Amino acid sequence: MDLNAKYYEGCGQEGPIRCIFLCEFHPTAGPKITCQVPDNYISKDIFDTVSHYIIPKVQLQRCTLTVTLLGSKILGFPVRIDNKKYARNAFYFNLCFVCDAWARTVHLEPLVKKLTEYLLSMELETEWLSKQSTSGEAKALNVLMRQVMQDINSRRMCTLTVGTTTTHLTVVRVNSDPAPVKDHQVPVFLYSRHSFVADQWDLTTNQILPYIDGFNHVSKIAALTDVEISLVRACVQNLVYYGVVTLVPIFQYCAVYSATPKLRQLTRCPGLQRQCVEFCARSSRQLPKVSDLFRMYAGMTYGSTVRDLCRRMRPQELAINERKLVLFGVLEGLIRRVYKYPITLQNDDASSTLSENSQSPARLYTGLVCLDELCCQGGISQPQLEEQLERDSNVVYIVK
Amino acid sequence: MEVNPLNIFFVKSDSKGDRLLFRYPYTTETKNESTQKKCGRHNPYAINCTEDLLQNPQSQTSNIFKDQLSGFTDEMLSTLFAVKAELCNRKFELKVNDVRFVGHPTLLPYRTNKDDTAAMILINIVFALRASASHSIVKCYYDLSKRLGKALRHEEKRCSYLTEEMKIMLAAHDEVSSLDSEINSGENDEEDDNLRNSVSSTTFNMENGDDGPKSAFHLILQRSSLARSMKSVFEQLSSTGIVQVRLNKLVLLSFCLPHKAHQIHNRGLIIEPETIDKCLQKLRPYHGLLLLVNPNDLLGCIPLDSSPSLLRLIKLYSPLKSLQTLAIETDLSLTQVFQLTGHLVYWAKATIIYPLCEGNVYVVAPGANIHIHSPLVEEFAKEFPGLCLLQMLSEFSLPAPLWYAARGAHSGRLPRAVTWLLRRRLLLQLHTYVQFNSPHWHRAPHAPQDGKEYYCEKHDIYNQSCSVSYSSLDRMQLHVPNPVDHKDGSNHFADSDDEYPTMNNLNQTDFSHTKPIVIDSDHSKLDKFNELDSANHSFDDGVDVVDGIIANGINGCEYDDVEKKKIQGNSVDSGISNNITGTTNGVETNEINGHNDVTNGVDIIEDKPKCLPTRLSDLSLKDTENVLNTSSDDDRFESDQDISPRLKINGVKKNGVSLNLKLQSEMSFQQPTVWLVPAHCEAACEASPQLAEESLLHAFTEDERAALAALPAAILTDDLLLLAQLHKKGYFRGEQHLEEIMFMENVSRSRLIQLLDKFKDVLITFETEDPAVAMLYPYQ
Repeated sequence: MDLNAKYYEGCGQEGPIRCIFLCEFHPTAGPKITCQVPDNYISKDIFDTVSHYIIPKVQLQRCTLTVTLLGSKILGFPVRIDNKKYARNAFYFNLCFVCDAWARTVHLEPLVKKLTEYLLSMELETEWLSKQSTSGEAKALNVLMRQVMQDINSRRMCTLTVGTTTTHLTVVRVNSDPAPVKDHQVPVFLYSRHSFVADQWDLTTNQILPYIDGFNHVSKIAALTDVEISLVRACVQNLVYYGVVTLVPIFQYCAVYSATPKLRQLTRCPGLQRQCVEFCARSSRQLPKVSDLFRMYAGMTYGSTVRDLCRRMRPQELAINERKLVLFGVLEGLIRRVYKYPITLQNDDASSTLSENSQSPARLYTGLVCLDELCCQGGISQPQLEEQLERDSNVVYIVK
Repeated sequence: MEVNPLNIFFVKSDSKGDRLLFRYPYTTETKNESTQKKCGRHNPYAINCTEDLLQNPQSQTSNIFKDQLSGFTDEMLSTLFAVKAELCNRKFELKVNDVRFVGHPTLLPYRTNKDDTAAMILINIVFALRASASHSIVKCYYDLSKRLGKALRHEEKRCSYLTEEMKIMLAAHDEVSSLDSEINSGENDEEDDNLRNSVSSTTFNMENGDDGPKSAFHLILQRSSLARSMKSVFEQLSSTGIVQVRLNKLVLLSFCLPHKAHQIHNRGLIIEPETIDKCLQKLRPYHGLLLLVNPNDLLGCIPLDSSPSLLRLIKLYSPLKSLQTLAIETDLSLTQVFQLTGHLVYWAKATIIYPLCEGNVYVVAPGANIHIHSPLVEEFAKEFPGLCLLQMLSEFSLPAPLWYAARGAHSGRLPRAVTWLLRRRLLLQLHTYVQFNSPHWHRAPHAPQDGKEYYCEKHDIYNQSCSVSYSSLDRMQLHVPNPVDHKDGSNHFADSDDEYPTMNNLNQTDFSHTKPIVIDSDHSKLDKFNELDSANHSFDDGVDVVDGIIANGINGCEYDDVEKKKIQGNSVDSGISNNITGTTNGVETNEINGHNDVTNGVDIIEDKPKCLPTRLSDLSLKDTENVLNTSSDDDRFESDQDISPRLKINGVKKNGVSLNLKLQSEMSFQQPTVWLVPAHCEAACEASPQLAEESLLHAFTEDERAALAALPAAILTDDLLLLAQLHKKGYFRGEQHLEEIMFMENVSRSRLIQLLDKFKDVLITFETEDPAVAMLYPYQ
């Protein structure tokens, strides 16, 4: 019951590969399973009902096909080799992965394709596959499929060697593309940097890695490492894609944060409390009190900046590092940043004033860029910018 | 737009083989050769090395071209969709590259020409979607396909509608193919296969010009009403997400794709049915309804055979009213109102808000579109001439109560403007939550120590399943089955609500069976104990308080009275009638006993598999425990301690009671999520202040009491008592906002704020949004 509650169709979780089978079009018997690991996972009856999705018509050759039925998902990449040497002038085969119906399988698609290509090239070169199927038992194939299933399920990667050819299979998570990285955003590691294998990454990434500390924003990292800023952006975006870092708003004392409904979890989850206390401590010898931390978070609301809060609460005396406090809150979703957007109201007289004092570029604020970004672009501090904006009577602020 | 369908197909398969009878849209643009080459990403500077030659040709990776399906011939699709009989009447899902096909193959008896032999025919209405569409979208389309199949089966059975329509379609196909073969035979001898392929696709008639034969699908669309219905299904899905089609001018098919429907009002807002379900779970009586459309328009578009209660709800609707008020005014049970609300939210006709009142604090929603060129700016200017949307929003940049914002010049239009903004999800309401600053923060010793997991999953589930978790914490230590006890208020209410005369047939029939016994026992209970039910006390007054400032306090009372009379007339025991019959001097023990059978009922409802005797022994054990430490915990006080005395006293009545309970459990088919808060404090307080004070203070731990004693405000017993009561009820655990406390406990806002101010050293307040409401926002 518990399992059913967790794994329903559409839960979006990945599941193990339950079965791998190779099926081919037999010249006389029609579609049949040549080899299956484990045996009889897909019964003859089930196979017959779905066989025309597994050995489909010509137009569907070389398409990734996924068919969901009878509680399982069958994932295949049907292939046909035209050659006079085969019984019907063609050899059809399809290597299929079977997963549970609830499991997500998009990430396995490239894998199926690559494995099929591998088998295909072996067949073209040495007729390995057709020999396997005619031999009756298909021992080597069986071993190979068993290895793929075990290794992929346990290690998510697999290295296959048959004869002199080797192929590497690995599961790559399929994520949607992360949003473009802005200059004022701050990358922060989602897990300990020590567990991060640096030599997996390119040189530029390695160069910027030491400067990702949760406080440096992208343009500062670019300046510190002397790397072109677009490269830094690309690297950070790449890291975001792989879930190594996430982006948080830049820490400023004039920033405003607001508590989220999640904050209440701090009051009752000991694990979260412990993490929070350890993370936000000024020194590991003197730990702050949870109630003080909570009080700090609770004080964050519209209209009160971090500076106001620090003046009122004096985090230094409570052994709280306010920067880390904010960082932890943002990472855990206890608080969220409230941004300030300047907006130019378009009155009729606005255009005339624009043309008059052309030397001061009273630019149009469209409501898409927040103050942080503007500051970062202009290289000025927020008070300076606000002072500039003050002069323009058409500019109002929207805080959200 | 992954929500939109790419195509709709209608496939049949019978003894004569399978055939794609209709598809829409059928005009497919042929892919240019040049673009196909581009897709292959050939670098002109690359050397064609031998390995590349050995590699197999680039396989096709996409079947979507310019938002249309491409690369499939009709024959191919028909073989794919004509499934084997074993796969009929269940979900059919096939993904090819980046296209997902979903349908519900329906097997139905079909009258052949020879009249008597009813052969079976398989029809499959398949939708092609983008593979990236989420599972919940796919599920909705599957549901639609299933419903279409059912409707067709019905019509086929009634008047062989399907047979007729299929005849038309097949005839059209044949007509076109014969014409086509005539034309082509004159020109060149094409292969038969190619000919067949080109028959149904439209490309060929472009060559022939307009006066030449149209494609088969075009003819079908002109001749067949079924094809037209499918076309309108497709078009309505792509435009609004709401399908209202009459098949064969008889069977009305209403369907809503919430993912799409909610985008009519808020672009980019994708609301999944699962989100709506979750939101409804968190719905409380104090929440309100905000229609996204004009009520009159809504009444106009509701089908004639709709539920009269829905119409009544819409007629009496106002954003100022809470669901509770609406329930009373429409004479529906709260559960029904909740269900109707869920319905309206699902169909993107309404959203959930906290009823508009002057004390509400709004801020600009984080996901609000504030671009100066957004269409909203125009719309707002049209709706409210002279006002500027952005100006308006900038006034909400600092949180302030509505009355503060209303002091400006345009105050008259402000409420309307605020509803407009709420409808567009541009404003979000902030609520104040209170947390008691106990010296002991680790007050949940039962919690597993692996905090992360607890926090992420269990906690979330825990919150959802019983959102009032406070008192259960203490109880867990006692190993009392936890989800039961604190719901006593809720079930009491739900039950009593169901006993209202309602339109719900099911309910009524159920009720007529149970009626005599229930009333009997409840009356005896009333007579004996002269009970005062404070929960209901707060129930009616709560209405006034919540809607107090703007809403009509007088009206509320009036309705209450009406309600009371009605209930008395029916002699149905409900919460409110208790209020009348019960005099206010209910001694505490009596009151407790009064609750007895309800709580007990809940126990049994929840633990059906457990047999009663074990439960009783359980209870008596706890009883002794309670006697030892005199009622330190309110909930034990109410739920456990009192059960056993009653059962002891009324040992003889036990059977009667349990029968009653059984019936109640049968009746309580509704969701047990409503009214989770036991609200007896006011009455308890009034009843015997002395006793209450002592017991209430036990709600605090030693340290807490010490902290309290240090405060000057603690000298005033009134305040301290209120504090203790609220604390005991668990209102100070950051779970419930001030409005909820006001509603549940019948405390005025000023009193509460005063209290918070006096005890600000031990109470931490924080402002955030109501999760139930925020769920329907396009939020991060």
